[in-house]
Amino acid sequence: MMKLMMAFMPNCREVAKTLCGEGLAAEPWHRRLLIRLHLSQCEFCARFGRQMDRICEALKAAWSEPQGEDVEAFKRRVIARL
Amino acid sequence: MEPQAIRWSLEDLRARKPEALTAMVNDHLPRLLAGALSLGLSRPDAEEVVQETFVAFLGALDRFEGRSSLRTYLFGILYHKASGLRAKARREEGSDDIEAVVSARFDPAGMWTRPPGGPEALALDGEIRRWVEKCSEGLPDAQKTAFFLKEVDGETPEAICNILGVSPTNLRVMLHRARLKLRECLELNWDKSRR
Repeated sequence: MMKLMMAFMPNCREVAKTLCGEGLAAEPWHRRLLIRLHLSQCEFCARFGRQMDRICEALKAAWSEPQGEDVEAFKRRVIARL
Repeated sequence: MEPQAIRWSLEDLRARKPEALTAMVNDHLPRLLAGALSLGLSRPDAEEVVQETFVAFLGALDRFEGRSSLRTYLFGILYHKASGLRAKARREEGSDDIEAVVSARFDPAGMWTRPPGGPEALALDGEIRRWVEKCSEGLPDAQKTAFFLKEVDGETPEAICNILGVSPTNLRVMLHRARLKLRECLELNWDKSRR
């Protein structure tokens, strides 16, 4: 069984492509399983995946909706113009 | 997805009812401002583009048939206005060779020959955040907007394709390239800071 799985195991290039594409969730279950197995054994791909996650988190924080009195003041200016 | 539907309608907007205009601005302005800032506009320019977006929307309201959501429609106007402004300020990058750069990291069998360097994911939060933000400035506008709409805004692929005027395949390629470029840039900055 293990030999069969290894025969279908995606290589690093394919794993990296999945991780910076639509992600594991978009893959069928058997492919997800193989990629997870690869990630558990490959330090480099695991690092690549963690970095991808962190990049998304960092941009979510950087590009979050601005808040505060200056935004409220801006809203009032826009409404007045309309 | 359409919180304004409960409190006001397009008919109210067409009649220019003040409460409807106020509610629409309150509902959509923060997101539009975040989108304009994510494109790399300065705060004054971002505010100008957001104002122009609302003005343009009201001017074209009679032609808005509601086939796309108001959320998507407004962002489409914003994207085109912001891109126009940025095109004046700088020339868009020409070639996009990130695929070749990344491809050179693997041998013919698909194994890493130059493994990913850079920071470990769980370290240096603030530093990584600053670098990623800085690196995002180097992305083309369409990639930045696609990334913002997908990862930050949670917009559907269909809506993003509608805003950017691209096919689903193009969108996948754009997002793929944006992520690769951000990671390569992050690694480059990490290496520089450790020298």
